[in-house]
Amino acid sequence: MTVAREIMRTDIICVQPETPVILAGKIMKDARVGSLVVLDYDHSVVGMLSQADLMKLFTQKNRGEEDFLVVDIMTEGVITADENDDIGEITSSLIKNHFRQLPVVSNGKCVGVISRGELLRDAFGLN
Amino acid sequence: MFDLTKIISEDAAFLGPDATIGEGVELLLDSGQLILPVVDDGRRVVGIMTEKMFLQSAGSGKMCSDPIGECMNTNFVGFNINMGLIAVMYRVIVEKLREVPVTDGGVLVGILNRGDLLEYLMDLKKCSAEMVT
Repeated sequence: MTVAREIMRTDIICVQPETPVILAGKIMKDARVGSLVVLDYDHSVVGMLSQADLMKLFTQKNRGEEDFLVVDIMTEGVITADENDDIGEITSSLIKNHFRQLPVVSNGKCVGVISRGELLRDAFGLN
Repeated sequence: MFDLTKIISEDAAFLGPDATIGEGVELLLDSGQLILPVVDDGRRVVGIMTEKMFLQSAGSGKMCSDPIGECMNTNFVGFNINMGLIAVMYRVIVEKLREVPVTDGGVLVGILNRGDLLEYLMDLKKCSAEMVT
């Protein structure tokens, strides 16, 4: 059985709840990722910010997006995986919930991220 | 006037239906794309493969050597190159599309990624703000 910590990425691309949305969009663009993990200062996961969240904001008329913080538009109540979770369960969870990645936690702290890319590499034995 | 060709990736990776699942997974991961268009000899899009579909094919016992054509999705969303900005935005948001093949007369011309559309919208807003000030 392979568990999350064996294949997760530990280079977590994250923002804080107080990060301005404009900056979060730039981080997302520069890192070429579709979502960012939102971490509190104690490294606990408080939300996720996705391109979809930004798209909704940027397509609303008469909204000054420069005034928004990540906490204003992020998705709260994020599903996470434990570092000891079986990746079969994680794959099912990603597919069922239409997520591309899940934060991996240990003792309440975010220690990594596992995405469909890592799962594909593992499933097909690619490095 | 909005021109979809300005924001799509015209050098998108694609493959044919006879390519294997293993080749598809490697191409998908190397390209950084979320979908792989599957095209015929005339480069007409006949299906797509997504990360999710590759994962499901692994879970259902498909092998790396099996052909893509056996598990590709032939009922996919594609955009025509002449679509307007409002229609593109609407469908990307409402249908929660992350990446879409863009065609001209059914022939693949590129891939639209939601991130590229978002970047375009951010630039558009920035330009509008500068014009006002």
